[in-house]
Amino acid sequence: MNLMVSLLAAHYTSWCLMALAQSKHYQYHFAHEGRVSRRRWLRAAGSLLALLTLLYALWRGDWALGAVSWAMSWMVSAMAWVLLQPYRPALARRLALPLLVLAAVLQL
Amino acid sequence: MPDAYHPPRARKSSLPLRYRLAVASRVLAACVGGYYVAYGSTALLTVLLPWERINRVMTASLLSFVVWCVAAFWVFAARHSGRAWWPLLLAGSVMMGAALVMREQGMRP
Amino acid sequence: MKHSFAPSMPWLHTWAGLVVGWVLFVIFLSGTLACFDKELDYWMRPALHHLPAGPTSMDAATRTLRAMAPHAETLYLRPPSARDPSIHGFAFEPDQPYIDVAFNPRDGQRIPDTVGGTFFFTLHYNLQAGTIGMYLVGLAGMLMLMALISGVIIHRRIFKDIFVFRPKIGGQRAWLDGHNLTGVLGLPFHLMMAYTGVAIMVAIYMFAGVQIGYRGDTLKFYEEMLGTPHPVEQHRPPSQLAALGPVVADAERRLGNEGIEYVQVEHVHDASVTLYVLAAGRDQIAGGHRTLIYNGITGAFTGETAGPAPSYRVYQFLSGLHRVQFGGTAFRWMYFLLGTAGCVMLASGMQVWINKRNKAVAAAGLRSGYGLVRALNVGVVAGMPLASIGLLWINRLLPDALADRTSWEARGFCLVWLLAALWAWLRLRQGKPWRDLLAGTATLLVLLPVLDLITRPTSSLLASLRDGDRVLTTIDLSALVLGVAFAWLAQRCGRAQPPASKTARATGQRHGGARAEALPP
Repeated sequence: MNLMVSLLAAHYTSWCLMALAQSKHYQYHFAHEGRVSRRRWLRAAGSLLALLTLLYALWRGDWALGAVSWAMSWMVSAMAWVLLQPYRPALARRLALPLLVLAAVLQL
Repeated sequence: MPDAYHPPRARKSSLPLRYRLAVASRVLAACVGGYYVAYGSTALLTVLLPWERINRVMTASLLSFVVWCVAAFWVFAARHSGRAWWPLLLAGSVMMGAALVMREQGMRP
Repeated sequence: MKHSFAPSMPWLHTWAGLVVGWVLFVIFLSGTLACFDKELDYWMRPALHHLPAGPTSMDAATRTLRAMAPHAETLYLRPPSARDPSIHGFAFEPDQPYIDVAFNPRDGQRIPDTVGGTFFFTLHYNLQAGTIGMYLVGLAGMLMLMALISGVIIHRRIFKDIFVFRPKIGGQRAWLDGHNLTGVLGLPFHLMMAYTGVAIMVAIYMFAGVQIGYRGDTLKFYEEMLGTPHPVEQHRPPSQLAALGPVVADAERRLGNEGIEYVQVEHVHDASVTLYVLAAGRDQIAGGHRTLIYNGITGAFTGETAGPAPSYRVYQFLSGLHRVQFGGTAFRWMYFLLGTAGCVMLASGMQVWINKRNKAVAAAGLRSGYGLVRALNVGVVAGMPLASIGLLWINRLLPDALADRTSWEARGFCLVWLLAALWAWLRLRQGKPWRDLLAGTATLLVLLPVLDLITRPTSSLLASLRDGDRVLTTIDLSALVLGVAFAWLAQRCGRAQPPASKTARATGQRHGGARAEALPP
């Protein structure tokens, strides 16, 4: 259960970063397109986070269960981000960091 | 070109029926013809795969749904709905026939 | 006009989706509910709530089951587990209906019957329609696989649009966004479920392997597959049947954290009687593969079976991935959420179909194919949730002593659904059938704890909160949350204009749906 919650939280952050890496979403949130280099960093950070969670899920216990947990939470988090974004964009964005912290804390 | 779903009123009597028949024919070919090909492939793979019998049967059967899917896609990509049918029937029959000819091979434990 | 592969894909997607859309919706929703089949089962059997502490009597349950099925050759008993405190018994007698009953684990007596959570499970794999239903579900699964793959090919901007949901634009655009969002983001799950769902029934759907490899000898096939030897009959009655209690205790010790799935009593009436104890293996996706063998007369441990063939282990993995008996509650919730997303994908997809044909729908009137599609949409998509929560109500309202209680529950479910569909059809011309049915579902969901309080005070939310019964509490609270969600949906449907008067929004024409919907010549 702990692992699933952590993965859900971390994937939420990862999806947030990857969404903001797209110019139209960046514009939606910050009213301007943002620098290309900055968006590139966001994308890299989002992808890296997803990769790290995958490695962690595989390493933590049974690899098959880890892989399934990772994939399922990845999809659910993506839906959570996309559903929250149009209704409460600021909240959706600001949740990202606390959720990442929560994910880490739960695994300590 | 008129939208397929909203055919011009003037030709209402001819096009929709043809259209519906084409739809029905393709869906049927994908389901029935696709299944026939998948059935043939399972039979043939049961003969051709190298391992023990139970593993041959199981693997061939699990792969059959992939074969079915590919066949169905082929049906919907075919140029005419009529032309979608016979290659499926031929492919299925050839595979099934080959499997029946080599039946003793398929029975090996 | 040169015909190519890609333009035919929207066509395949639309028709494969529409042909089986409603059947798939029923399969999706029942499957989503069946994620918690054992929990719902427990909820629907108040006799199991507040069980006194004490030892489990497998032998008393076996005696009850034997009395119920005196001619059955094989008995199956499932000992209590963390998810289900009852002892479950299964038996099959020739020319008799299949026996699937729950026993009180303390005294082995039958507890009042219910269709239980198994109802949704059965609905999921055969639509409660036996063999024909099973084939229908398989066909629907194949068409779903095709619809999914063609959907990916249609939605070429899949990665660009992955985060797009614009509910405020409304109309067709929002429906299409909803369809894409749930379909694309849930795609790995949907693809996996479609394939593994068909693969689970492989032995029934694809007979060619058994026909060629075994000359149609299904029994031999199953024997080689499971690696379980069949005891040789001795044609004389056994002197006694070994006590199951010590056997289960010994098996639990040998299997350790793998746990027991069920005990199979083979050849009950013959001296060759043998007990097989199957491992549950809930910590693995593929489940357990060990089977312990015990002498059925003395109860002595005689060894383990060779175990299933490697390819069967692959099959078990696929089937385990689908049935989500591994891992625990967290996984079941993930499957539940993604299954719900699948339901939304289907419902919004069919709504897109209707909206795109608004003018034709309005012109053709209700007594046309379009009218039928609209009526089926409301009747199935809004009717089935109503019938499902209706089943829980019926379970509480029917008296325990009613003969044939399970049939009445099933009939009640069908009746509620039928009435809902009829209501939807009657209100389609003027009125808001979507709002009516969704509001009805919301009411039943929100009032479920109240009903509990009146009919079964000992199983009510208050009692389960006090006693710390997590399963009952979670189900009641989930009903409340879902009830609020349905009320919100109903309120939105009440506000929206009826779809027929809405003109197709120009925004919907830009990409995705309206693109390249050409008929192959």
